[in-house]
Amino acid sequence: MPYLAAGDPDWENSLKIIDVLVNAGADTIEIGLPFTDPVADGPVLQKSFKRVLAQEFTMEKFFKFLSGIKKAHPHFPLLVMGYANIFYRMGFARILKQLGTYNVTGVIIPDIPYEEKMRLIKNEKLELLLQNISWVDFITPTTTKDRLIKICSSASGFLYFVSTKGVTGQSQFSLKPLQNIIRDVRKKTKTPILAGFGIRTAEHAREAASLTDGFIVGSRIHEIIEENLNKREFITIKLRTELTKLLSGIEHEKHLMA
Amino acid sequence: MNPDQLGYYGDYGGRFVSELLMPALIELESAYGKLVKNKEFLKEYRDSLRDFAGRPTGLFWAKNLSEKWNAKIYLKREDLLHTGAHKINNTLGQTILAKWMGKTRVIAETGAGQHGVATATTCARYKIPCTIYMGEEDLRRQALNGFRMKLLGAEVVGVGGKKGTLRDAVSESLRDWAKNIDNTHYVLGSVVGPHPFPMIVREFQSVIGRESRMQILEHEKRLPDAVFACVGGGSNAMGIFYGFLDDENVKLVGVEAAGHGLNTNLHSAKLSKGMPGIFQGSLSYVLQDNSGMISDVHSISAGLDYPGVGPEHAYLKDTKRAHYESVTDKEALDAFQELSETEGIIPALESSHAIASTKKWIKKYNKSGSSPLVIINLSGRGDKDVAEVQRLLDL
Ligand SMILES: Cc1ncc(COP(=O)(O)O)c(C=O)c1O
Repeated sequence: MPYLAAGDPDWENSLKIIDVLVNAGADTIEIGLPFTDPVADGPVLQKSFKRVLAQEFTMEKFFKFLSGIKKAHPHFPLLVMGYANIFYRMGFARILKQLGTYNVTGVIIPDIPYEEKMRLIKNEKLELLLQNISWVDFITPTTTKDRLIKICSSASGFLYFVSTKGVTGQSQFSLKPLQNIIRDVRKKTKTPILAGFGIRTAEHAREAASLTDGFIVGSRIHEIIEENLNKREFITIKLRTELTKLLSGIEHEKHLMA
Repeated sequence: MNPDQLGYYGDYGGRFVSELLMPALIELESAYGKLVKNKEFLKEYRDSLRDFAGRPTGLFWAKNLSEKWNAKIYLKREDLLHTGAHKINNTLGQTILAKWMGKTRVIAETGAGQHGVATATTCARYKIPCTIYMGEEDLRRQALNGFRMKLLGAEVVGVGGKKGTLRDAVSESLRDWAKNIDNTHYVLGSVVGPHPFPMIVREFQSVIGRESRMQILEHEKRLPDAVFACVGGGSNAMGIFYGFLDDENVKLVGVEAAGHGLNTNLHSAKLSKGMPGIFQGSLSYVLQDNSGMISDVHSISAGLDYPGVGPEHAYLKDTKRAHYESVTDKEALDAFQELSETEGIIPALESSHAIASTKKWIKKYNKSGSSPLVIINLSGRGDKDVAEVQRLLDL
């Protein structure tokens, strides 16, 4: 599953990139809602948000972007990744409802852990809404056994498996040392596991595909955007080549969502 | 008050961090809960507060200022502590805590550089390697503190680009912590961030309030009419307020930075002008726009230049137990000079905000025909600001 910060490098080219990603065979795309202080992101994705925010971001622009995607790809499902305050400001119920109208099937909020999620669902009365849109949970290398059990018991959509301690865009990637956590998750739930953080080569992709049900590629895509800011028409071409390279050697059913 | 199980003070607080950090926060809460009951730990902390940091600090009757302003004014002399600010109360506590938890590395963010210097100092004392993150703009205006940290053996990392300030330093610290969580303790410098930090930092700072209460009763045989403290993240204010929270007749006033004025965009008065929001780990007041983006903020003093504030302050504001005022850069600068000339004490620019606000309040109070008894928390000394003030006054 590819990740794209909405509006990067600009709203028009962002829509063109979506076309490339859809045509490359992605089953879904994770769309990033820009935020000023993205504490879970490394330098590449921080810069991508900065580029979007430099164009005077508004939520209207974001929803217009989603509606553009819906027009071009009427049934294509999306996921939205955003930091807690954006949801809080607009109101969780309101934003979830609105996202639902644009084929958004799930949300990912990196700074809301399980406990806060449960508290919010109760306080904001979100149970009903969440039958139609899933709020994705995280499993990480530091997640303890008792947390893992709690998280798995209520997981919906998929589980986001953070493959490295740290932030997005790190250089090292290996799931092998984490196989026992993946095994523990499998024992507790049938919810698919997607791996993210640090996947940037075909080799990473193959490893992720062999151990999980799919993987998320974000920083690599935004590096390509960043490298081609002065010749934006090349971004889509370069991305197409990169994605082909990344997916080489993985059978389609194995990169479900890749 | 103590927060509930999830770390909430009323509606505010919580733990808004990535799942990666949750086990570390839970571990910290549990370690802290055990250690505050451990006599050896407490002895080590109290001894080091006394012998290394220089506690208790005096409660000084500022006679000249009192006469000039028509009030009885006491200054709580946190500026006399080792490293020159209240920050060391917290860094000693947390560094000793880190040592007892078996952590072998410490990280910290810093704004004015005071918390960074205090952390570097206590880490040198307890032989723990430390890395300090500091905004590049702050490194420029508090250059001396950048150098001081290096002298103390800390690694200093500038962050956030040319305009980088305290918020960038906090974000980068949280990122570092997520990477190095196994061996690293994050010494957060104020009553902000995810639970249990607001509680732990307040507990370590509450020594200011406990001492102040005893000292004012000793000097005056009565409690003050009001207590003033500046609010950046809110730790020195929380620390002194805590001694008087149950004394309902003592007015508690937190003073924010109004920068160029509350009607401009150039201030950092989150409690006066912000809205509840989720920022850097907790739910509290924060300066933000309609889409929830965190605002660029400004203050003449790096230590107040932060868009968020501790959740317990949000609670004290809503319950009206504390009041929040603000003063402009200019008013703070005037107070900086006035205290220097009048009492022979150069205050930190942060603390100058509390002084300026007290002056305005006394004027109003005098209209009733009486003069109040007031304590100002002098959270730090102004040595670090002298060069920047000279630059500003020359303009
Ligand atoms: C002297 C001094 N006072 C106050 C502050 C503000 O922090 P807090 O509101 O946490 O006390 C700082 C922060 O750097 C400081 O150095």
